[in-house]
Amino acid sequence: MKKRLIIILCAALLLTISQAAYAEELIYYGSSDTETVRQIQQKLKNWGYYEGRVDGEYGWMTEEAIKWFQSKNGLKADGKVGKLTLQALGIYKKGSSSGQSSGGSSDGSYSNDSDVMLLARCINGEARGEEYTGQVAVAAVILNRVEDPGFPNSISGVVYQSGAFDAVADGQINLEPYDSCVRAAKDALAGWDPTGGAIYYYNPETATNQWIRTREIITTIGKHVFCK
Amino acid sequence: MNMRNKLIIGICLTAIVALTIWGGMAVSENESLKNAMENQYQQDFETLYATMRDMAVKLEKTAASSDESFIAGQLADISKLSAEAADMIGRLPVSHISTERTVSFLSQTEDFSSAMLRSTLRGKSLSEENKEGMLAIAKSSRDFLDELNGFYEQLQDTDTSYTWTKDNTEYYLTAASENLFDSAFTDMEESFVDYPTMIYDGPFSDHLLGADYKGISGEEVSKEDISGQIAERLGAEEGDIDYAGVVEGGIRAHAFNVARGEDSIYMHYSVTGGNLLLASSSTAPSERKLSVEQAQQKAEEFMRSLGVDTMTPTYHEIYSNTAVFNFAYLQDDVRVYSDLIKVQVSLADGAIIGYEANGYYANHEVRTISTPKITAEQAERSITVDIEITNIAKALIPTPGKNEVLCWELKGTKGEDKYIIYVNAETGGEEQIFKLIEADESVLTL
Repeated sequence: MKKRLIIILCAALLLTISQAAYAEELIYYGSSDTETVRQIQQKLKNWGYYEGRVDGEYGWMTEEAIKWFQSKNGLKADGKVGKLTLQALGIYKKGSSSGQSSGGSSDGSYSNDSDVMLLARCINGEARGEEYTGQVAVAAVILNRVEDPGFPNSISGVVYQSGAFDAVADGQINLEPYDSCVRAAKDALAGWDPTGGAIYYYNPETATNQWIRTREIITTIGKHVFCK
Repeated sequence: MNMRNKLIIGICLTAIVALTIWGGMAVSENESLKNAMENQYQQDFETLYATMRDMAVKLEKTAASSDESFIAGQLADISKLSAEAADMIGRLPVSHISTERTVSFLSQTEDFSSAMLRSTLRGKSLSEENKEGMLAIAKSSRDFLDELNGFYEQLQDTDTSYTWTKDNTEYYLTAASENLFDSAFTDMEESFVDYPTMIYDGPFSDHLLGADYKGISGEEVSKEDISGQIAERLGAEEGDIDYAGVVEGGIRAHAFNVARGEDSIYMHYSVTGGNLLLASSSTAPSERKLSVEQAQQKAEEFMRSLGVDTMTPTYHEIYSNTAVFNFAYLQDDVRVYSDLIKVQVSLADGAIIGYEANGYYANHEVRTISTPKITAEQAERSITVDIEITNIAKALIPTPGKNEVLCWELKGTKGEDKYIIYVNAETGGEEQIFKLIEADESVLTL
């Protein structure tokens, strides 16, 4: 009996310690593919999942960020970056098409396909249930912010500015956009602005931020109020 | 105590020990996380401080210098430093609401120093006013830095009275329930109250605030009048026309939603003068039957029907079975690019499904255009790089500060690449160069 007790106790202890140790192993995964890890960290940082350094070292924070990303995107949240996760991140190894360059220069006159898709995904996340004009309006606000001195100078800078868009914070921006969102993005890039130059918008029925309600209103389109 | 009880107690003790170890590890990892974040932010803070201080120093040096080359070098650095500082601020855990003024200040500084650099490189020395403006910016920066330093020291002292609080996906530094960074920045932004009025040739120059709309004139038109116009033009029933209020940004306009079968058209008409400023259809055409030339004719007919002055096509693109044409106002033989109108034509049936004329009505007036001081041949000869010029025309192009400059527009090719070069018709200097990207049948300007 005593022997059995000891065996059971040891097993229990070992199990718990090994759990912790196992967790330690996962936490300090230590991948040697620093280049890919760096890319992963940069994207996760841009999307608000990761707050640590972009240094190519797969550590604790990186793994937490990956798990969070995985759970938000319908992937197995195990912290291991396989093909599916890489795809969801938009990281392509050599040999496949990339197209992940960021557009925008301070001259403001450069745009390319990845700008269109980024805008389209943001519209999709923020306003896919809105009427078409409402979708063009969201893209117009983003472009107005690029032109405004108080905001970042590029489309990706504006879209990923921390706290700016709910669709970025909750991962909806990573969904495949509807066709109307792509068309709306192109119209906005071509110069259509139904908001009259707005740089803020909110849904008056759901907005909790009191400050935004003090901004001067330009117009209302669908569920959103557009402001200076 | 029997064996079973001992076993149970033993397992419980083991579990407790294991959990304590595990819990201890989690807490220490949390501490590491907190440290890592704080180190990152500290570094950003320190870099921000150093960057803005360098910027202030260089502004002061520039104001004290009489050497054009030295000035040019300093201005290039100032431009870069202000951009870097703006970027740093974006990385701090402060909401964009609290940093808008600071970032605007830095963007305007970057913009201003770029504009000064451009004119210095063209041989125009900085005026006394410009130099005073620079000293004022330097002073504002230093005041801001004092505040920033004060806040930083406050953080070092009150080590135990603040925590990191998570809001959505961001971590914010809070004391009690107040976001420390946010309130500190709001206070710091007081230093920008005395920011000098800066007028220079750049997009953030103050002369652009309160600019008037040259193409808008006449009486105010009521929404009923416009409703009537729409009914006539589009053959729509009154019940299909829905008034959507006044748009109070840019050119003041009445907004309408007009139902047309499955489609819905959104429109803006200017309150003063009743001009169509914007139109957009909710549904894209389902097929492509017309040629680009046919579609262009439809666009030109439409503009004529609105009484718009002579326009010339500049470029077009095609997407979603729609041709989107860009037109510029043509005065005699000069293309006036500021007065821009865009028209979307359905390639299914030639219907006008989109229109955008805010740029046109904001800027349009008949101009007094001077004769060029250099000839077309001289402009062409000034292009010494290996580009084959295929077309030369006169153009009035907007500068970054929305002034206008008369240029020779030279279109040319270098191998597969197409370029448009704008040569100032007065000085012979190059104002702007564009490289064209042609994708599918779209001719896009880079």
